[in-house]
Amino acid sequence: MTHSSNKAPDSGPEVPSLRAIFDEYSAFVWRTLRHLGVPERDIEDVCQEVFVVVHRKLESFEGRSTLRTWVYGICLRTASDYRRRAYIRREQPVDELPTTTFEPDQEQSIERSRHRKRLLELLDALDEEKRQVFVLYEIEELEMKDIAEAMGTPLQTAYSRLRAARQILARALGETGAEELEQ
Amino acid sequence: MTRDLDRWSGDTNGPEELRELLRSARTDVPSAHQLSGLEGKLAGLLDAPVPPAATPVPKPTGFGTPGLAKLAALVAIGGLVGTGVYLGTRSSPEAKSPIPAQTAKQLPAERAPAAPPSAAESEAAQTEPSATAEASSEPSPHAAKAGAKPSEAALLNQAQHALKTDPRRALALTRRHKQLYPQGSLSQEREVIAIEALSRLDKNSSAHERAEEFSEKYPESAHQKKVDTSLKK
Repeated sequence: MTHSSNKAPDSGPEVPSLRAIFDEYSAFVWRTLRHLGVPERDIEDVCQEVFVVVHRKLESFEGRSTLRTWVYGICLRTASDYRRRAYIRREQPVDELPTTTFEPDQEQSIERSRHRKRLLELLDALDEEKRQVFVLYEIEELEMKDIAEAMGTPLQTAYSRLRAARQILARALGETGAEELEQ
Repeated sequence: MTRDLDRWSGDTNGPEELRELLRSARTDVPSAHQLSGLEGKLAGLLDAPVPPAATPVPKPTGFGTPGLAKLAALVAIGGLVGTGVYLGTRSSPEAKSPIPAQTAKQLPAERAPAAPPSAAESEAAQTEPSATAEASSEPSPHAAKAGAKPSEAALLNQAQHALKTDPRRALALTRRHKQLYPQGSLSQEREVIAIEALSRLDKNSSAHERAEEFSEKYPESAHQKKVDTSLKK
């Protein structure tokens, strides 16, 4: 990762360039926004907003969390802000725009789309906070302490939300003994 | 210290269907084409210098806390240099296509009431075209297809593009942005564009009033220099 050179010496952690952050995290940001419930048709715009915020705040990144956690934190809040615009949901069309993919294997692409659709249906059963924890833990594989950091919540709260999310999803899938899953 | 729970995708505890979906999700990344489109939208910004920090940025806070309000302000802190480059170089087709009139008509009933216009805005409004009418002739393919409102970035991108050639339209677009996103994360950028547009329209008193409001509201803004420069034009 290349770093910007316009950071004064001894003024904090060396700040990577936005280009380097984009190269490293853009795919993850995109994927995370999708799983946080940003519709396919708006992901590119919301991704753009994420990186604008990253750009603005980059110089003041203090390194108190890892860069990855920091970027995910911005991602969470941008997605949250997007979802909070209630009338967007009211204006949301019934049909999603098709995702343009260029996978060589059409069958694989169809299977992936099917999986994506099913997973998003399940995630829609979660409220925003549980969904955030679940997505960051189970898909993005962040450590719980980093998730708590990104969300600004106590660690135990993050754990509680994960357990609750798992319980809801297990029930949604008709799993018997969902409670036991949490033991 | 609590040990992290086993991840569902990696053990046999979780529901089988979900394990498979989670494994699939981890490899479900955007295509090169999609990332290339995003990169195009960020062209200019990606290689722009990092704007100076005007205020220290707090650690991320929980949603629904005062941290959210702080974020809105902090988000807007940064150099318009970067933003200007970003807004001015976006290659998005959104700058060329229009918002459906239907969407514009729906907005007043569906959105929260916007803040009353300032004196500067009121004066400007007397000569500027209707924001919704202007925006209706603008827009986004997303909006056209989905009937959804344009994004903050798309609206300001259009305003930035119009600034030099048609400041009246730029001003109308900033008004529309304010209607749609009264607490938007790009509010400072909107104000900077509006001030420059007023200045270009020779509405100097309005421009100055709005610039004063800007300075009061965002006393530490990194955009202040840009605002001052606009007033001199």
